[in-house]
Amino acid sequence: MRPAAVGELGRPSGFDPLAFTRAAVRRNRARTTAESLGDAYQILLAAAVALAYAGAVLNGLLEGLLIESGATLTRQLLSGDTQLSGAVAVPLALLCAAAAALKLFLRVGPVSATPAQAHWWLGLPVDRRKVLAWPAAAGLARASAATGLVFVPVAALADPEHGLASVVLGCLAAAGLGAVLFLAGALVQLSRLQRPAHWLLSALVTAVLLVAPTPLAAHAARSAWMDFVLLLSPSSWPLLVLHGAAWPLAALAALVLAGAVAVVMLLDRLPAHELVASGQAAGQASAAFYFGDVGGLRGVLVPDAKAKSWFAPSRKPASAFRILVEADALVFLRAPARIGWILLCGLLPAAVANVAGAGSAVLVGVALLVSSGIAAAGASSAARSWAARPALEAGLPISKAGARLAHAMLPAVLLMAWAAIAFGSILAMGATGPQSLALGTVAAIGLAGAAERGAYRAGPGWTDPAAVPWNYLAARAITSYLAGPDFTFLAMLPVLAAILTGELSWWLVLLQLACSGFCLWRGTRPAERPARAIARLPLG
Amino acid sequence: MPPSPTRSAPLLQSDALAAGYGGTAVCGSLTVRLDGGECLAFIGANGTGKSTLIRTLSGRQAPVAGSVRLNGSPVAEGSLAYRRAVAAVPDEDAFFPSLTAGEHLLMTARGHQVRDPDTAVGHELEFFALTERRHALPDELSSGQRRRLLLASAFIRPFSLMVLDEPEQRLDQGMRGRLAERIRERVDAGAAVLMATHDPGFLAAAADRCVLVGEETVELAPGQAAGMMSV
Repeated sequence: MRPAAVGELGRPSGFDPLAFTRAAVRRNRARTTAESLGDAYQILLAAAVALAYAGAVLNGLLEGLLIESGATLTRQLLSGDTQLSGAVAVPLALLCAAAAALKLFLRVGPVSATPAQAHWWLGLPVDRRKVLAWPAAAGLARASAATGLVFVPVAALADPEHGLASVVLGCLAAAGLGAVLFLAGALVQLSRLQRPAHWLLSALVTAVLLVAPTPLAAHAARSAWMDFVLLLSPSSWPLLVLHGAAWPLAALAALVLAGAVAVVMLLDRLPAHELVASGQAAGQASAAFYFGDVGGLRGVLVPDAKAKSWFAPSRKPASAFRILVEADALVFLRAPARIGWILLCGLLPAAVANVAGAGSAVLVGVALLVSSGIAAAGASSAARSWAARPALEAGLPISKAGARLAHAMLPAVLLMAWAAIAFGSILAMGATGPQSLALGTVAAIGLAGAAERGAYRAGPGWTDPAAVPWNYLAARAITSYLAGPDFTFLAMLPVLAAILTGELSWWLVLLQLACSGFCLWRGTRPAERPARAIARLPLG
Repeated sequence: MPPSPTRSAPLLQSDALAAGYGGTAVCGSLTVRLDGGECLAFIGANGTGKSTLIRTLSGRQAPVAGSVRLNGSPVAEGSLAYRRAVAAVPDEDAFFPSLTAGEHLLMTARGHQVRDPDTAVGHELEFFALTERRHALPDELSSGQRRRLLLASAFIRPFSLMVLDEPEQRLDQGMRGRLAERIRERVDAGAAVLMATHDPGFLAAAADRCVLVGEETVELAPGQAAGMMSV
């Protein structure tokens, strides 16, 4: 066989590897049509059940917590014209959700290829755009369907203008928005602008979180330009459709069409190794999601911040305990974005409290709990690294319990700073008394224990399945998923009780001290027998 | 003055090429020229950067510094000319789970417009001792059979440059010898081969030139390098 002439550009081969592969797959498929239909039925049933549950929970929240007024739990923590109206808060929340979705698409890469596609398809002298368009279209359809489905409960509860018809159209608009976000992510990826795009999206979410708890937000919301700005943002368009507008559907359709054309034109710009890297990130994220490995999912979607090398480790002799604490400090100082994220999410409860009609005691309590869970997970990042590589500290003259306690020091400091922001901001707004700040600071000690527990949790035993009625579930799956979040809840329980009831009694103080002490003690206590598998990046 | 001998444009040319990650080179820089009819091998201990260098030279990874040119133009992995000219074997298994061994090869042969692709598939399956496994799915193949299938995918198509990263892996001695002979046949027919190897016998049998990769890159005679590796 003669060697190919290198300079021979010519035209792409007319061979269609997709059609070839599809035909071969059809020939070799072991599954029957009935089995495929059964799978589809199972998926649809699961989606319907999940939607029904989500709808019921949202409905309960709306009716039980927002509408009923005057009860202890549902009393408004703030009142007055300095609050943000719901008409502005909901579009702002949707804007942040859209920014988060776009960041997700940028991370996993909308345009991607598997290693098999890269070798067997992309190595052929064919038009790569045709080869890559199909997997990208499948991703677009999945993103669109997921966004539409997620919006169903929101649409059903948002007082739609024309009942079911508006709900359907609103979900259609949300699906279109999902497609627009996917295509925007693809265009950013194909233009290699991921870094500035991530920066811009992070800046947007940061600005919303910084401003939302302040009177400035309410002041801006009253101005006419705010309505105009929110109207311009496509993230609000599904809401407009719900309330009777039709033009956003046409606008979204035009954006999808224009975006799809632009993406197809640029599809062959990325080299195969970048497409495979995107595909691997998407594959890891999917596998982590499927196996319930929240930590693994976080590891893919929130990679380590770029290390700053100007912080150098100390060279003076020190105890093993101090060496470990300094090493953890170095990890955070070299990636200050992690610290920023922990502190920033402390503003979430204040932002919720500042929404008129939503800032009830229960919802602020839920926001505090969610915020503390996110902060504890972020604060456990250094400990997770040690847990994944136990040999690193095995050579130091320190007991396992001592090492675990050392790794809890930095999380404790960071979470106390988080508590100062989270509880201090709602105190400054007049939503709670100073006692909640004191209790919250004590709770932060317990949250450090929760962070440690999450970092060192044993992974689920996927090689040792135990039959459960509906399917196979790995041994220790539930306990593994809950290790960390359970202590977060326990550490926050007394302070949340004080906020929900609006009272502080001496026994709540004692309970907070006991809960925090227990969480720290138990969270830093090593397992009596070595865990068979330590999750690499677990939830704190 | 007698006219100076002229050389045609090299098939592959690197100038002060630094390969690595995150802006940091993992090995010494490389300036090398590879023409058709030559087999250039990289040797070196584990972790010295052979695979990174091969990926960078073949345009599958961006260089930290320096340049690579294929037939006089900057190497562009996505271009049609590159895909027609370069046959590369991936480091790891990469198969469609629902395509048989024969169908994988048939797709490559048809995509590269090989005349009589069925015959070509039969020939490659026979050479790589996979005839009996023609209708087997990838999961039904052994590790060595999957490796041979990947190698067959490079030989079934026309190419000017073949890129092989440790092709001897997962092959028995007999197959290594036959593979070296096959490489020599293609090199003698005018193709160029770029490879990394840890096998001194394979190196001596297949390569014309050899570069020792480390903190510096040093060109050695294959026989000398094979002797060093055997010690």
